[in-house]
Amino acid sequence: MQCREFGEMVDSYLKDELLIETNHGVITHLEACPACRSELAARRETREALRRAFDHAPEFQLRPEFAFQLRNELKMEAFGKRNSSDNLFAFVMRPQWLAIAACLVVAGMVGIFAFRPQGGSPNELARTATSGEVRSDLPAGELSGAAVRLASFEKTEAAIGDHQNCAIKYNLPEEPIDLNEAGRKYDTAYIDLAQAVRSGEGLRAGDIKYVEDHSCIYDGRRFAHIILEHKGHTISLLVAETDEDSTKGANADVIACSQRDGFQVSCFGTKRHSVFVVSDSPEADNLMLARRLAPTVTKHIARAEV
Amino acid sequence: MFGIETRNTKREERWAGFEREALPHMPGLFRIAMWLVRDRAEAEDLVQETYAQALESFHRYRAGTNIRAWLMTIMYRTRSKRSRAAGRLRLADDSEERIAESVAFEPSVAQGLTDEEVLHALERIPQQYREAVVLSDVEELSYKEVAQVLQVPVGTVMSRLNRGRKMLRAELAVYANSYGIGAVGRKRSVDAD
Repeated sequence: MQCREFGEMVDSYLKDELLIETNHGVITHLEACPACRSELAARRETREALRRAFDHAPEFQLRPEFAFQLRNELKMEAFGKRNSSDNLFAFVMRPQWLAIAACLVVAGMVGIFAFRPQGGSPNELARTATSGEVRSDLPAGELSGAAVRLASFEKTEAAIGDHQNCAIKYNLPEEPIDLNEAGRKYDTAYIDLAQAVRSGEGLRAGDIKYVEDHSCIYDGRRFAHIILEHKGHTISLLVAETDEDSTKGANADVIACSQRDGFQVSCFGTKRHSVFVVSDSPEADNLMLARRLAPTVTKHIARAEV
Repeated sequence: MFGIETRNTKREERWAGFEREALPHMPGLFRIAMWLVRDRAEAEDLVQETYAQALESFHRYRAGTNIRAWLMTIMYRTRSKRSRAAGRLRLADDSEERIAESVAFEPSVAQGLTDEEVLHALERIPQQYREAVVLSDVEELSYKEVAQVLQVPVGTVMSRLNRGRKMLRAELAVYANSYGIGAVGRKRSVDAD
């Protein structure tokens, strides 16, 4: 194979589209040709840098609310239920749809985190951010009780698939209800939680805006869900009762629990509750937001747990 | 009565196929829309119109072919129509060709650069070249699919890709050299390549 032929095939080689024999020819040529090796490395590096830049740029991220709205409107169109003279978006900007969308995205993300398959140890999952720097090498004993409890939910691999499928398809099984009503019926920690967050230290600077609150159910787990906004990103604060008491009690250490598909999940915990902050903000921003919200939220929930 | 049931079943099947095949590509489509128009509201409009048209002509989509390329083609055509309506269509001129011919070669040094710098470097190369590079290297479309999206011959795509990548690497090298990353002074002309 000559360098010219390699140049013609390099794209297909990078995309893994060559036949086995041709692929072998490319590899043989690369072994003998430093110039083409260098060209291949440069091409691969540039391509990866481009993809990374596109994947990470916050302005290129799709708003989950928009995806949800468009999907519903298209479905209505497909079933002929939409008045053709309507603007495609006139219907879908109703606030309750926005709430459902936000609830689903967050619940899906929490599901993905919480039902991570066994084998990923708490140490691998948790990165402490109490001092503002991310660490991944803490022994389990040094993690907060809440962090260990959060990182060790035991669920099956199939549950992950269900959650991913559900989050992607935006199928909400049950409509959200008023948060205070959920507080009276199911969990007293939810009563006035939104009010506490709104008047708390975290929102005082004015850069985090309150959007709305409700309680929603995902895969049998009830969440208090407070939706906020920061720098144009939708932020969700999600509180769920845990299955058992933490032996170490409340701990407001905030850790970066998980990241997936452009979403960041930071979490902290109290004696009987796990709290998640989920957004498509950069990891550092999401952690910062969680840390600002943590004191008010843990204080409020801890009072209800007494 | 049976007629209504049959119609509903067809609609359900059509929707299920569309949801399964087309909707998962929404984030990728939005990313390119946003990159093209640089305005979130306009990008959402473009994606919305693209999907509305795709749904309407979903019966024309051939299962087993690359649906992302098909959606991308619809989006580019939609954007062209909009641009024409707004009088903003700009054809590539000779000066862009001349820039492409005279670009120097640089080995890639993209690794040490931030995502923002990479995107800025991309912005500095002429539109027709960067579109080809993005569709091929970011969206992983084949030459033929890029040709279909951009409505140009395959040979033109290959030529634009070749030049576009060289220009991009040269731009990345400018950033890298300003930070002392990579190899300064290893330039050679494209003609010598």
